[in-house]
Amino acid sequence: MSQSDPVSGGSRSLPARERAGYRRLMLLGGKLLSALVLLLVGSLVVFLTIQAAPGSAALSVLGEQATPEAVAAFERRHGLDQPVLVQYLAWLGNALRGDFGVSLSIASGQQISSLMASKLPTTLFLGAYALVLAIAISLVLGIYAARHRGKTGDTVATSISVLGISMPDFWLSYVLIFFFGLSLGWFPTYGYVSPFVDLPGALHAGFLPALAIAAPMAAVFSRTLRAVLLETMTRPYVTAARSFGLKPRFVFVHFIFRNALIPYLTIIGLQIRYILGGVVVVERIFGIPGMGSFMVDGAFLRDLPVLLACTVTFLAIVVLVNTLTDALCSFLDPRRSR
Amino acid sequence: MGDLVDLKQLRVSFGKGEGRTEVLKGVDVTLSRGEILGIIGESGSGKTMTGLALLRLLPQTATVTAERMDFEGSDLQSMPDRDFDELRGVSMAMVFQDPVGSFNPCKTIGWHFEHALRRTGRTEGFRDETVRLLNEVGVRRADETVSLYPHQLSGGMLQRALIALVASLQPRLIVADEPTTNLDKIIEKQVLDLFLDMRRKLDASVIFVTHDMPVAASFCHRIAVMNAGEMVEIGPTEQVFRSPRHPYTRRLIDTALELAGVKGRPKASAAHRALLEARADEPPLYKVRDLSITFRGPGKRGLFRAIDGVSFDVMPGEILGILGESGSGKTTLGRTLLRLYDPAEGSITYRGRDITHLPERRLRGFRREMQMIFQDPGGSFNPRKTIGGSLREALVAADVPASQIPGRITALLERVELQALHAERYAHEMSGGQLQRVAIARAIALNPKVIVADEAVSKLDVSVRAGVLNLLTDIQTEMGLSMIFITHDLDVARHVCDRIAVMYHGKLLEIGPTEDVFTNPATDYTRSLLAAHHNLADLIGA
Repeated sequence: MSQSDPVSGGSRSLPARERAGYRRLMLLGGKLLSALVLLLVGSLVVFLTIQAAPGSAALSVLGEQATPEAVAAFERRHGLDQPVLVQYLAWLGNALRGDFGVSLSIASGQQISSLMASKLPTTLFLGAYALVLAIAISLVLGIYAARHRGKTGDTVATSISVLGISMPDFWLSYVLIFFFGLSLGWFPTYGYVSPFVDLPGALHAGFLPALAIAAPMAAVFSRTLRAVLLETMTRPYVTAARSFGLKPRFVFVHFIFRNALIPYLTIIGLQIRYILGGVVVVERIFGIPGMGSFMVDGAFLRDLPVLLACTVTFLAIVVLVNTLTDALCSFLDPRRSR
Repeated sequence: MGDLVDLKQLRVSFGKGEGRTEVLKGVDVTLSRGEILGIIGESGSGKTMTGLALLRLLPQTATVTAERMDFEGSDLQSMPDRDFDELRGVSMAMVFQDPVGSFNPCKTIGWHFEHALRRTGRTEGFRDETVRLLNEVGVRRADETVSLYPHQLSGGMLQRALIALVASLQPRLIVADEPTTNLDKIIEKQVLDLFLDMRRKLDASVIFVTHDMPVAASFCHRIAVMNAGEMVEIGPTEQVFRSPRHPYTRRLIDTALELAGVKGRPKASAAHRALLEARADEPPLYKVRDLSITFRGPGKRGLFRAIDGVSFDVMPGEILGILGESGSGKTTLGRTLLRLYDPAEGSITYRGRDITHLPERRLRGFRREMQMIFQDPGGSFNPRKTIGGSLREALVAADVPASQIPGRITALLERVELQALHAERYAHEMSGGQLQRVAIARAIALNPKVIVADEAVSKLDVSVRAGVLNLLTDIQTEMGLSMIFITHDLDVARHVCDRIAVMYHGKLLEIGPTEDVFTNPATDYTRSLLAAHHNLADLIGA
């Protein structure tokens, strides 16, 4: 309100329209910058954790009977005798150029980046497939449950969600394999088809693993969506919209769903890490040659560079997706971006 | 009579079977074209329900029945939902209490208007029409406002926009549910004028739901009085206010008149005068000089001055009113006297001692002498503790020996006109008025020298407000306390205060004896505040 004129309703300085776009760009820039810092700190933590793990890479490669001279030569060759921080900086410098070093024990001497080149798309496809399935299922269940609150439909939809949350992904994988794979024979139970070669085939072959990953998340998403929809329905602007005589469907889409979308997306962003956790387990069960299997092998065979490369890649994906959902939420919520 | 709305025996209940509660118990309402009907009553009386039921906006858990429910001669009860959607907005519309909550926070003001205007069959020129409508209700810079989001506008502006939005639908009936309750007095008057304007232009009828009797008396043709789900009285405004038939109406009006200062003030009581005279020679309790408080502005660079160079004294035994509208800094000022905030500039002297920058640990002794009573009675009690438990806490803090505590709790409760059995209750089991009494008991448990009462009766219904107010002033006189009484309510301020300080935008505009400020205000702001005020006594000539 203006100081000079108490009686008026008040004038206020209005934000210039052209500055809104600039501010949004700055906001996105800031978010990307903080994501980068987070990634750096995260990679250091991962690096130190893996270094601190018991066991020696040299022994696992050369065998328990290796002579101390052979171990020392191995460690010198791979730079493992340097101080940890020097090792980290050297690794970081290479990693920024896309060079994650060579594999020690899985595929001895091969470039990790070229090994990952075939595995990363596989995992990204599986993860994205699972995410799309989870969102689709949760949209159907969540909206249905919210619109039929307290009726049989709500109870059924909510029960399905509880079931989804309480089933571990590895167990669900075996149930799906047994039921849809072996008994009904609708889907293959093992192996992988590249989506770049045969998209329908890839969707068909990937359905069970994607569903196994998606189910627990779909349950969380749909319960979240139901809760935020119900909460939004009680907002005064919804009653106000109805009092203007706007059509119920219009009110649902533009007043209820539009406002519920922001908390729903936030939850999705936070849950992305579970997709990657699921990928690690499910790729193993279904024999899919992706990052998950690669990482598990790296851990078992103490192939530290592989383990490191996989973990940091996963970290990067999580940070990136979180940054994107965060930016999307700011974009959708005028109170945050303008 | 009743060619627009004819409601007979409207009943609304929630729940089924055993748990069924009836919130409207047979309400009759009739309304003619161009008429303004006020529905007054206290919270929970069902006045909002009546409006919502008429527009079929109640939640699905509600059951609505009526013997007759006609709008412009057509039966609303048998109307299918689809037809009702067509009726809503363009035939009957509602203006809600909370203008900020009535807008979709994700959409611009212009978007709301576009979709409202589409309802009236318009297919183009939305922006120009919106600007025209906004200009009509006095929204300045309407052209820019169209592309703003609700959170970028003040409550008063949004209420204007909401009224313009409803006007764009050109309804024949407007149900206004406490449309001015959240607004400051000066803006309230402007908004009421907008309603009169709209009624004249659209030849619309208005159902005006309010708990503010002066507003109802000045604004409505007829008045309906509701109590506990029943309509106890309905009639022309003059008749209802001058010669109420129902005892409940009479009680409501009497309390409102008492607050408006017709039936004598407790501050004029002999005891209070004696107290003031006896202590007139004592030095001031508080001396505040050039006090400023700054806060970091939300999202803004630089500092926001909530209090800006304020000086005044608080005398022993007096009730000093701090009058101002929301955002004027009156609450901040009250809290600063308890040193809950650190002053940026100036000084506060309490009983001759400079406490401006006294460190927290040395403030504890002082804080016992200064107690605060808050606006929201429910929020200031620990929900997991009984009332007795909360009072015990205060008594332990006052170093009362453990053996005496139960007796003191009973004595305190009885002093605030409650009973010993209330000690067993939890906060949610008590009414707002009872809780505010307990808050008073808790404040006096520590034998304070000063009480800061921050809008202590604002959330209470009229009928309990006077009781709590009288209790507060009685205790003040009896214990010889000073009281800082923070309020936005002119009637209440005039009712209890010896002196009034008027705050506006962090500045103290004027300070003086209550009657001087009210009869001969020194500033334009105070004058416009008084002009916007509806005095019930004057309105009904009592």
